[in-house]
Amino acid sequence: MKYLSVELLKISKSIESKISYLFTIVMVFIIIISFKMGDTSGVSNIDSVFLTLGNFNRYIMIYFVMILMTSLVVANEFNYGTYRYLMMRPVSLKQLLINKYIALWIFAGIILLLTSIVSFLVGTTLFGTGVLHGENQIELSQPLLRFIIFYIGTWINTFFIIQLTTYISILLKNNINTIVVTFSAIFVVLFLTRFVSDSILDFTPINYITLKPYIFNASIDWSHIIFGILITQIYGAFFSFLSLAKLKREDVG
Amino acid sequence: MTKTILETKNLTKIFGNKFVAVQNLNLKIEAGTIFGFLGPNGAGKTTSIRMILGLIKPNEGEVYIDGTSIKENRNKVLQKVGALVEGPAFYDYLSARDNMKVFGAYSGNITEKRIDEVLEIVGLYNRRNDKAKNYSYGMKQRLGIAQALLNKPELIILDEPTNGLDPYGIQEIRVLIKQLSRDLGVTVLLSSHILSEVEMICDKVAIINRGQLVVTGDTKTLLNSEKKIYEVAGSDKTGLNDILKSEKNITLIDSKENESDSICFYINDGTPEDILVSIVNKGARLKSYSPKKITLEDFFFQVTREDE
Repeated sequence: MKYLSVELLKISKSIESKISYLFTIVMVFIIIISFKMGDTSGVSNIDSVFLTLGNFNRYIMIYFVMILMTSLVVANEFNYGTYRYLMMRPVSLKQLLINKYIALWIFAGIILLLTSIVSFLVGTTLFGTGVLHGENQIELSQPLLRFIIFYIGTWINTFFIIQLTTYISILLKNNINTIVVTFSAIFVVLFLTRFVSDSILDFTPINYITLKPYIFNASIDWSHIIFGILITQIYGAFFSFLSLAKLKREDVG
Repeated sequence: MTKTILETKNLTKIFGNKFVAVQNLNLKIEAGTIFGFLGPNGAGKTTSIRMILGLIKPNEGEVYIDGTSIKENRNKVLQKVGALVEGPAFYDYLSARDNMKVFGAYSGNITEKRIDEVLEIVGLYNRRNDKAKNYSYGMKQRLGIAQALLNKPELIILDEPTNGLDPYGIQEIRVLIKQLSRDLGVTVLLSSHILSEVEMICDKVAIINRGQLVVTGDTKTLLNSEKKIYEVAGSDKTGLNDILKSEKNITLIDSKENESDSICFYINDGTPEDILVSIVNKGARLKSYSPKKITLEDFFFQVTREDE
């Protein structure tokens, strides 16, 4: 717990975390206000929560926040030279990485919760209360359950981007390069998916960047949700394995 | 019997299958001493220190701290060591105290009281809430020593702790190192370029050159046991230098670099009187001829040049 608490301390006191909170709130306002300015018929406060979370995923805004934070927590250890000092302590690489992952994951949870709360409050103010709507304005049952699945599914999937960015941080050992390269890699991969069939993409995290398509139908598509989360976590675990192997193999500079 | 706190056995590091950075390094440091670790740039000091701390893996050899091998029980060994290696490093956006909290958490059960104590020892308690980025380099060095002290180490390793400091900063660190040894009983392994500093504070020294240990022993004994240095000055330095070069029984020191009138040399064979008579007979016109107290700097140049 003591390792986790200091990793959280590093996150909470950083300028990057403040930027992330501000970015989240501003984006929520932008998304909801743009909907308000468009066709607002049939939009409720509950819908607005799904709209913001959905857009956060679809336009990889949550990825932006997590890449920024992971580069701070991992790549900056190399930038500052503090990694050398951590490795002089009686702590294993595994413990170090796991605690960084958990701290970043908690931060991702806070950002998503903030997104939900702010969207609910702003949505209530702008659209009023109402029911949850799916495609073609059909009324969806179990809004709370759908919200929990969407929220937790998105949260679990942020773990993948934390693990991917950690690996790139370890490769590049520089926070700015990490941000640029990770984003570039994601955009290149997203572009290349245009030329790949959906049946192949089903076995990559790409098709599960947002779980909204599997939640927004009349019935919840549990098999796709669980499969998507599993696939994403397998890819994440692979990057974690690579990170650990790289750190174990190389000398501490 | 005095306890051996650090022992290296045949420590060897080869980079890229070619460059031998450290070869068969055997060091033994007794508890409670201030041990100077000297060598020219690139001699292998930092590589040795990094192997001692487990930051890099040796190709051969072992490091024992308080009798325990670092390879076999890294965590137990590192609980007894604190270090400042290749300059201090901190989270710039955190305060000194928060930085200590981070390193403290990874060091074991470090209390808030202990954090305040180490900040007090290095004289930064009153600036504990300032962000690390607002610290001068000298303050960062002291904060670096504070982080090394957090876990109450038995051995503290300081790699060039006075690098980049002004004379006041150097003096402060020197006093601090003496204080650590005297008041807290900590063994100090000090790697430094400033030979006068090592001479002033170290009980024992080891000199490493081109990855190999050249000499080790008590500072005072080493300086007293070596060949005496003589200093001679004449009205014509160039002429005197030529005469001295022709003398077979002496070795010149720094004859080119020395900008003063005097020239220093070791006597390899014969008495100082024999040498004096010989050089006067060769036509040297002398202003002075006297023994010079050997300093660690003279000794360092002597042993590292002999090695070359």
